[in-house]
Amino acid sequence: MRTSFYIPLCFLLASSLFGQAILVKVVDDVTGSLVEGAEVTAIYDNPASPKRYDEQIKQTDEEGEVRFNGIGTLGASLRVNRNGYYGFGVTNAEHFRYSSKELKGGVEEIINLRPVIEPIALYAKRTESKTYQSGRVPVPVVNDWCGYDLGMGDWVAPHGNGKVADFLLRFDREFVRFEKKRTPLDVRRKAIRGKYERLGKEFTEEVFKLEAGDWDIRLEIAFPGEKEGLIRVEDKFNPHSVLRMPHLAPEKGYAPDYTYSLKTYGESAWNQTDDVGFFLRTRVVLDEDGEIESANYAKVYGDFKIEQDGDLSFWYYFNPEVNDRNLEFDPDQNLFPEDTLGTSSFYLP
Amino acid sequence: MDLVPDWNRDGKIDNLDRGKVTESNPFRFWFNDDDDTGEVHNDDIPKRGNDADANDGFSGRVDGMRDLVDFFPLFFDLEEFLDNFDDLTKVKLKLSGTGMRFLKYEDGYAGFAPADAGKYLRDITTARELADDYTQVVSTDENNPRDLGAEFVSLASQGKGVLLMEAYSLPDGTDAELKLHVFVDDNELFTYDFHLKTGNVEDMFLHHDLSQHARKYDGTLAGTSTVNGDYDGTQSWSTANWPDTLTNDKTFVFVHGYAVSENGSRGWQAEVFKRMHQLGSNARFLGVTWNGDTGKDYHKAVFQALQTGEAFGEISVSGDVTAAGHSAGNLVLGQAIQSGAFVPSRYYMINAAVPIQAYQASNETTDMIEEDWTSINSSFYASNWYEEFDDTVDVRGGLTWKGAFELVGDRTQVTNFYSPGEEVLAKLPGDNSASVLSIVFSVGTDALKGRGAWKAQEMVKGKNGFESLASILMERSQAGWRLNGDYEIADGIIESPRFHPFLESDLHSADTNTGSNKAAETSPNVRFDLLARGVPALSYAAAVDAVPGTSIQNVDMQIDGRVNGIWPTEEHSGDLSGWLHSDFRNVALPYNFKIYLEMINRGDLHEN
Repeated sequence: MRTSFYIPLCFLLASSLFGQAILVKVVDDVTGSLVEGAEVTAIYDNPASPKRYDEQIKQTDEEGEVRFNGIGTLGASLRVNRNGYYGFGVTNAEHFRYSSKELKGGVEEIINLRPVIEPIALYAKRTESKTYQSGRVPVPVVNDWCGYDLGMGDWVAPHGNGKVADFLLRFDREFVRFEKKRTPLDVRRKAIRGKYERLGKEFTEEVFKLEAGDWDIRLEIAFPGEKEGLIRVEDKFNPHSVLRMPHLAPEKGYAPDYTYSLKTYGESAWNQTDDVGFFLRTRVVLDEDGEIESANYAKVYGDFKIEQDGDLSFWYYFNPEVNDRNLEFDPDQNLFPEDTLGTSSFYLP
Repeated sequence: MDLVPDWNRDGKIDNLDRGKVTESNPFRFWFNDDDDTGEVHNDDIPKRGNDADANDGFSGRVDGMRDLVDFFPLFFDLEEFLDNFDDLTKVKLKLSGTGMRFLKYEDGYAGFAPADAGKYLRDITTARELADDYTQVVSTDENNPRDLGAEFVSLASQGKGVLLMEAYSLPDGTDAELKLHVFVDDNELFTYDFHLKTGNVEDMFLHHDLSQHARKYDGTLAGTSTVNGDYDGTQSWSTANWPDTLTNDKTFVFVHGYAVSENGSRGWQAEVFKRMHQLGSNARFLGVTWNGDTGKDYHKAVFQALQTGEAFGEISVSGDVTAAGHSAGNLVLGQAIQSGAFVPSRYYMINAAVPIQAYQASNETTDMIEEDWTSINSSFYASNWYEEFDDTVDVRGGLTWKGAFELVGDRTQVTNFYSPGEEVLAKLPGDNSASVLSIVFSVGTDALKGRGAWKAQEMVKGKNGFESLASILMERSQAGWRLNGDYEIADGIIESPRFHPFLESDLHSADTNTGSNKAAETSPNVRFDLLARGVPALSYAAAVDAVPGTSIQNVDMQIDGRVNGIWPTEEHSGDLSGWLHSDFRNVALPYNFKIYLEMINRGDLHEN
């Protein structure tokens, strides 16, 4: 979300002489209009000064701009707030920070602020397992398709109480070798066996391979119906905004499937991120001409996380209203019953 | 009619709590004798004398939200009795006893139903309402008991007769008493005894002091710093006020972090015990003290932590054991588990000041390479020097953080409680200059606690005073990120490394036996010295990130530990507004109780 714009030469010159300048322009992410009156906070981190943080708070002018100057020996961070908008770089969003190197010589920033438009009630959940409030849920079968019902928050029968498969998952894994570690394998086997005994769990050679092996993992996501699918969101996923993704699911661009090929070893091990998202279109009903008559929409924050033992986690929002692409969630209106596992602390819109 | 406490401490007073209190099995609680204020950060050290300014039991009020953990709810179940009266003004409820105070609700306060008896510790709005309320002392004169007031009678008649009580310290040997006197038309109709035993919180859990295992490199006792206050040597710990018969067969072991004095460790242990207890843990609690109080020489604390871990086996616990470490306490526990000296059933890492690569070797980041070395081939780093040796025949092959705790996840069920918003172990991406980062050390006077401090101490490893001012704070600076002015490529990097050589010159011997034997020495422990002082980590710490892989589960405390993201503003402004390094203990329980419930539930520590 960093975009360059023109900075007057004199401004940069002044910044290099008297401190490090930050020039911010705030823009409405939906309309593209300039946002006047946004409260922008620049916090220069200077451990050498007695109070360490030089926190400057200013408001954007009619051009949506505001300028700062300070000494950030260890960088600086920015946050933006305005009534009617989701905060940027604030609590419940990732901090937005410049390193001291980035700050040197001054920086400029265009910040796209997402407006509050119409927060609504949605089904919002993180998949859960045995743990109290966080954790993962195992894929019920290996190398076979199983459906997940977003409205029920469960696998569809026979693996759970779900009724409608919003999407299908197929998980497979292949043992490559035992991990290369300094500890000899027999010592590791003994250690892991001891752990299982202490926890009252059964230890098998398969368990040992899952715990001590290098694995190739494949997770396929597909959909049961025509014109259903998903869109991976990268550029428009903004971890610094309290509202991470655009308000509306797109009308077009859905792919029928998505596949993760993961390794638990090597330099690309666990190559997944929380800084992407997905829009999903599910439960599509087609008319006589094969056009979409109705559909439901959902969004997922972060990658679908999967491990070699089949533990799966994902964080989703599902709109049960047919043909409503709005996925701006009101955290006070989770449609899942209170105390449903995976729904506590669901405060992101 | 009955007086019912939340016996099982599940936040609800119900039938499961009735009939438990008897004369021979009294309700037990601790003296409120620490010194709380506000919502964030106190030392929590108990036994603060008789000064009302320092001892919360004598202050006459709730001493901020952090003080609420020192109260317990007591349900005056009088609804049925009070139904007999058309005119409640005829009824007076009064208390007498010793060593007790109750929270005086403000006029018009709505009170609690017994099903909400734990709200004062689990609901921020409720806690804020009560945080500075006044308390009233229970009359010690049985003939002149303290009137609870007409409003409380009214609340009790609505089934909302829950009162929050605290105990103040009594002379040794005095048993607390609490008696309800029910008056009608100013005549005492009957009395009701609530069997109660109060005492020192340090008589409710076990303690083990491992500080004598911290040695200097010359082998002498490391001694204790007086920076954070002396342990006065007169304290004792017993379980006289919480005998083992009241615990399940489980044990919860807690290990504090760096820069905690012996006296300070009492505060950490007491506070964590209270929180676990209040939220329902029935596990026996054992607090461990170790010597990590080394001023600004963090490297020394690491050296001492690893030594302490090696000696952890002297702690005698058996059965189902859950161990939890905060910050550098995870160096202690990591080494204890890795070496096999101590193997718990499960292990909670809380804001662990341990590089992720110690558990998962593949997590290096270029951001942890000191700026002067970014254009130098990584095989020349002190961090990678171990690769020159076959570790099956040469102990020098183990001189690395990589995999240093690789057995921890094999031996025990591990959960990493981390916080991306933490300051001390913050990543500060893009800032990797030892000279720049060393200014973090100028923050504060006693210890290395500023934002980015952990990264800074890794970057200054080996540097001299000209390269990084912070290095002069370190007792035995060696190797690390200091370039070797005498480097001769022809000599090979074993004998003539690109980094400034280790202080033990035998380590650089071309002779395998000489070099390996030196690395294997345990008195002093050469490897611990090098990990602490001369071998930089090449990954961020587990405190700020999830540890990948299946052997360690992860809990993001910023997501799972907060209620709807709500967090105090006190001591949490600007860049320090997230879940900070010690917020697990510093922040008042109503804000972070969920993380304690998570710990209790993961180990089923509430089981009877």
